[in-house]
Amino acid sequence: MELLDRYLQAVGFWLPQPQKRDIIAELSEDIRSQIEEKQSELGRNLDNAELEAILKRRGAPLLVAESYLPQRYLIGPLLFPIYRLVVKWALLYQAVGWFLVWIGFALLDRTHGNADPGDAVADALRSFWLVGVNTLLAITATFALIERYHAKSRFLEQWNPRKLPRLRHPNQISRSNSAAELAWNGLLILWWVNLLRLPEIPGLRITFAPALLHSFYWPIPTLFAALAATACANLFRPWWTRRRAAVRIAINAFGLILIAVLFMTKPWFEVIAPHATTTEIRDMAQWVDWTAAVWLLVYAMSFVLRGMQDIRRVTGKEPIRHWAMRMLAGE
Amino acid sequence: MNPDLLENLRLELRRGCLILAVLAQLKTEHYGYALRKTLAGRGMEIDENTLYPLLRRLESQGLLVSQWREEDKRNKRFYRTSDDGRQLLKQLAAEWRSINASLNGIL
Repeated sequence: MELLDRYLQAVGFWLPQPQKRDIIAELSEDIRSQIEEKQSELGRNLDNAELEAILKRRGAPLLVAESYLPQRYLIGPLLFPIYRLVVKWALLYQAVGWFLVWIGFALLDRTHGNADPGDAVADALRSFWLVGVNTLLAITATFALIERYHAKSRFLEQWNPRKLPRLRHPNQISRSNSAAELAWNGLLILWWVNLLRLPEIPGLRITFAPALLHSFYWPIPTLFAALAATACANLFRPWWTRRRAAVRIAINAFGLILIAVLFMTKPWFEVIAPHATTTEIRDMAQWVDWTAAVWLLVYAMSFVLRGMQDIRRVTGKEPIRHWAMRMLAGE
Repeated sequence: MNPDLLENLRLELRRGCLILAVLAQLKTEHYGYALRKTLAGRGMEIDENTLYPLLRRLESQGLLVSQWREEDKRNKRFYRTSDDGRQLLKQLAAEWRSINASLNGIL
């Protein structure tokens, strides 16, 4: 019966101390009764294979022990959907914030310009990973505490039907998104025509390359103006119509063509730094161009996704409502 | 049809009935293994990993009482329905009959 004792020991490992002896004694008794019954049926002692079969049928030790344990959750089924939503949004906002900070460092911190791009990317990913893990831990710990102290029951009792969110129509356009888009494109136009200047860094000037200004001086602000005009229309009449979606498809197509042509006319920026060496200036210029390329790719992705949504609207289909699609398309 | 789905729904359907069967059967004292055999003999098969935790739960709720006793040179834990358990069984049995009558009408 050594095998049976080993089995009981393995089950006991997972059981809480106060009930362990009692449960194991009862389990042992039950299995021994089964063995005895089988032995009297066969008229002989069981061999190891037959004993193994009985234990195997009873189940893995952890599974058997688990059936005696109360159901416990770190985050229960009631809070889990809220937890998942909070984690999703927190990580998303963290990714966006982290990306913007990283771009800022790449642009403004001269040491980034001198760093090896591979090392810089590895450092950036490491910091992103650490911040992500900490965010996840903090949110999980908070929700686990709420679960433990049953705060859920209080806030769920205090709900008011009048405070339920308004019905969302698939053709409705978010006014806050439109306002943000209008403001953003307005700022970009002012920046492009030099009415808005970014804070200058002593000893460093970043200007547009003459070739870029020569070929794109009008097309780029035209795109910003078209986007701002659409956002303005959406702000005051926040409903998608087929015509408006068709107009935006044209603007998105124009934006994509512009980005494609822009990629054929690098470099876009010139770096002037009287105190830096030629190599430092070249590295910084590369970083600035690389950062701008990332922004342009983000824009291109948003144009493509918006285009997909608008094509659905024009063809009378509902746009995709998945949160990731809406976030990436800026809707 | 997915056989797992049928099995899951069947288990769900049986879960409440098992409590009723255990409380009723334990009006006469039984130890775990004998109870399982008796229930199986009366068409109520019950898995060991379901029965023993259920017995402990019903005991912690005061519906069963148990006692360790030696029988056939082995220590066994004998269970029987407590007074509270008998009271509750009456109410549950009435509920069961009512559900059964309603379901018979619906089915």
